[in-house]
Amino acid sequence: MMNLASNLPAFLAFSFLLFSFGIVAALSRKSAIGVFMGVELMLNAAALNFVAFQTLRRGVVENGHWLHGHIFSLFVIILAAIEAAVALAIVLRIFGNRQTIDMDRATELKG
Amino acid sequence: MTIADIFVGACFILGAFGAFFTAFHPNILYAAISLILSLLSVAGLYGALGADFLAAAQLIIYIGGILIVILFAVMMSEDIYKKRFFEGAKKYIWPTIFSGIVFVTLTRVMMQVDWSNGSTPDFEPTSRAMGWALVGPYAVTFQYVAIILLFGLIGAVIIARPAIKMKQRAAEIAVEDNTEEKDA
Amino acid sequence: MDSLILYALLIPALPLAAYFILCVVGNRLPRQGDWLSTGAIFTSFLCAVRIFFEMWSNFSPDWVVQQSWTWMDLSTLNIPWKLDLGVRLDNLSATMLVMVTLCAALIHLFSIGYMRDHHGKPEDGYRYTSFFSYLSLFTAAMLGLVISDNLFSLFMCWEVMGLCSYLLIGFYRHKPSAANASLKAFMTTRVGDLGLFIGLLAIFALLGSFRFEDLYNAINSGVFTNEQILGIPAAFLIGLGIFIGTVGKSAQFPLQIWLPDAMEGPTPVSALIHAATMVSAGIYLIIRVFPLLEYGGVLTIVAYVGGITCFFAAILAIKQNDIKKVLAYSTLSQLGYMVLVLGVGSYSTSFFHLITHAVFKACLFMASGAVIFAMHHEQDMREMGGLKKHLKFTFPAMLITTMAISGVPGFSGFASKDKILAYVWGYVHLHPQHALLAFFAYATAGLTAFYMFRLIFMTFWGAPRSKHAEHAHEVTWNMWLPLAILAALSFCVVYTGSVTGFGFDSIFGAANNWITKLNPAPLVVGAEAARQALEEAAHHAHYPAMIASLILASGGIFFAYLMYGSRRLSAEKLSKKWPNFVHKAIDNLYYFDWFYIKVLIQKLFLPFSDKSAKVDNVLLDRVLVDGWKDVTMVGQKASGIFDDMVVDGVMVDGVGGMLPTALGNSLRSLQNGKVQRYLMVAVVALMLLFLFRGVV
Repeated sequence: MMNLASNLPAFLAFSFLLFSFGIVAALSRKSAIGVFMGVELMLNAAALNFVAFQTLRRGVVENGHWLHGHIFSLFVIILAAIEAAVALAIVLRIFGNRQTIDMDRATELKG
Repeated sequence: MTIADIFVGACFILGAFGAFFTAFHPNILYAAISLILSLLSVAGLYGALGADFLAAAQLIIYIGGILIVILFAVMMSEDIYKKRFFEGAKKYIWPTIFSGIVFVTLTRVMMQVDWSNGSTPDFEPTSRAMGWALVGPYAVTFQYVAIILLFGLIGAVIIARPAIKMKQRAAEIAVEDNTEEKDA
Repeated sequence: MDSLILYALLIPALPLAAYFILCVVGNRLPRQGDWLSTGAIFTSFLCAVRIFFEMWSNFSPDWVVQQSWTWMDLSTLNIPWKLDLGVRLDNLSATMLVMVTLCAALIHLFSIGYMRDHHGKPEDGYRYTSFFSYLSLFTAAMLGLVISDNLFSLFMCWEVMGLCSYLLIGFYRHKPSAANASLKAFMTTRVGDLGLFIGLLAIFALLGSFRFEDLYNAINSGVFTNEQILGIPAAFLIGLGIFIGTVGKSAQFPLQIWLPDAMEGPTPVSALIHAATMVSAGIYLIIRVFPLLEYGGVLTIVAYVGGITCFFAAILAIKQNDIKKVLAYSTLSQLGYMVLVLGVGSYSTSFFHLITHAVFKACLFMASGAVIFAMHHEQDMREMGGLKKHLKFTFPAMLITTMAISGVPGFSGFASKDKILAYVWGYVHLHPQHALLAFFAYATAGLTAFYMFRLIFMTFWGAPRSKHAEHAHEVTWNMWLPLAILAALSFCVVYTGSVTGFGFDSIFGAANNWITKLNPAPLVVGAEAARQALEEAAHHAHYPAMIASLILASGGIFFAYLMYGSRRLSAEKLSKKWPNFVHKAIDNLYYFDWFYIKVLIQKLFLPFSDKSAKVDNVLLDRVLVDGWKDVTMVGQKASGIFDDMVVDGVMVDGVGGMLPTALGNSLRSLQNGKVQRYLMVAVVALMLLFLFRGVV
């Protein structure tokens, strides 16, 4: 149990924790950027999950097998970057339209 | 208890704290900084898991790129100085409960699995493997992602452009044309 | 169907059809349709004659042709319940049919002349047509009664006749006395009908059938032997009930009060209803149910009722000055004779007298109608006199029929009254304790001769006592022809085959004395001996009775001649010899009207009905009905409150209003436009997936 470096359940638990905190942040942050931060947390938690499984199950030694988990997490990072750009562009547009990014005030989808 | 364990434990603690503050701190700037801390610890964990390339990528792209942009956005927004933007606690009740349930359920599911055949793996540098993977099995994915990157950037630019009324734009163009004709 | 039955059904059907046609289009027919009803009844007469000939050619005491149809069959498995109606033709009904149709036809003819004043007057409401329609309906009902083979349809026709008598007696609507008289007639016969109805129902309850045939069979087979109602033998009570019907309809004591007043109707009505048909319906009824009366021991009561009626009515007739009133009391008296002799035990004699009486009484009434018409509707005999010079056809007819009713030999009335007196004598001989009956019968014979000839002498003899009498003229052919026909039938040769009535010379052979050979009812077992004894006694009494009746009749005629014909004796001096209370009793009709109206109705019934009305008003109406209204109001208020609070408040506003609103409001928060809320929904879904992963 104290062998944390190769303790998959620990890594998983940590990623679940991060994920939960990400949910909280995404659902209850008042600012749009706060929501975005929650999303980032969730993404990272998932990515960490992948890497943990890859390393502690399949190993990182290249012996004719691929590092699928690592690749996946790499793509997650890339896509997070793209998504950040788009998201912040949207936030900018919202800010331009209404001079505020308060999530509680964005209720055009109501009904 | 090896160094790796202590390191991993420290990363866990830091990451947890960071995530906590990201979610719960009233001041959004503090939240952003905490996110940086959290993602830094994730990068550390990547390293502890032998994903050296990924740790570097995380540090460079995520923290050095994305989070800086977020930080800019936070600072440019009115959040940090307008008092009313400090979070209200009432909004947190239900999401906390639900995410608590999610966390507990996930953990319990995890607990039921037999993780017994775990062992400390051998490490070696992963960059070559990553590179081969990118042009190997994941070549097409790589191209997809590139295109998505392109689209995303173009889209972001378009979305972020200020809106110009058509008539106003037409008037501007007319003025420019007149000016050009006069010049010519 | 037997062709005879068809004729029999046709007989009442034709006048009934005439009634309906007259009701609907009578006003527009030429002459307001009097020919229609007269023609209908003449056709019925022809059918009746056809049936009579059939009976005559197969003459036997037991000749019966009957048929019945089931009207209602409501039997269940255990309880038979059948109502059959049908036609019964036997000697009795065949003869009765001929008599009724003939009299009715002649009376219709007579009415055409008598009711001439009402002819075709629209401002009068076309009463002429109404009159003939009522006559047709009445005749149809009477004929229906005669041919019916069961008590039920008899009763139906009985009631229709009651209605028609009401309509016809009250024909002169503008006269209050006529309106009162018609109501009195109807009500009095109604009282009698109650007894008949109860008897009828009791018969049905006991036998399950109304038919006479079944009644006779039941009596013979002893169904009535041990039946008791409230401790009294059933046959007695039923017989008494049915006899009460006759008491009402044939105006016997104590329900005789309506017959004199019924003279308010036009004379043809009196002729039809009170001579020939309606009053004889009562006699017909008790002849039909004679076995029941005999078995139940009601006959003694019947005889006394008849005796009382005939004697006391004759006394009343002596003092009457209205020509129709004399005839009315005479009818009462003769009906009493019929009832008396039936009570004594000889129904065939009763029937004989019924037929002869119908013929000559109808003639008498019509003749008096002719006299009244000739006298321009003056009815008081004191105003008449010396009419025999003027009324060349009416006088002989009236004289002949008066001789018939008085019992002059050679006439029909002699033969039938002779037989009555013989039977009464024989009965009293067998049962000396009932000698009073003989006194009634014989005294009445003398009285009858007296008052009838008083009528003749006052009307036709002497000098005219008023202007009308001086200028009287004979009536039209349609009025004296019926008189002539009926007078011709008042000779006893028609009925007994013997010209003088003494039984010496018979011309009909086997059918000699046919009218007394009727046997309408099977002999009741056990009564054979009694009947035989009666026949013997009557046979022995025949000659003494005849002599006595001759003496009485001639005495009566002689006295009448002395008083009114030749004015030798003074009627006034003789009447003063009687004590005052006798005069008062006669003038007030034995105080019957006083008793019924002043005592019974005013002192007893009206206060009772007042009290009942009060009870009805206060208790029933106010407490129950209005009180119930209050209860209902309370209930209504409660219901209203319930409706408001529970139905509207809880259900409509609550379940229908607030509940969906609350639900909606609560669900509305799902879509408040906030993206984070939508995200939360997604997280909840994820959570649910985690939690119920076993189920999903």
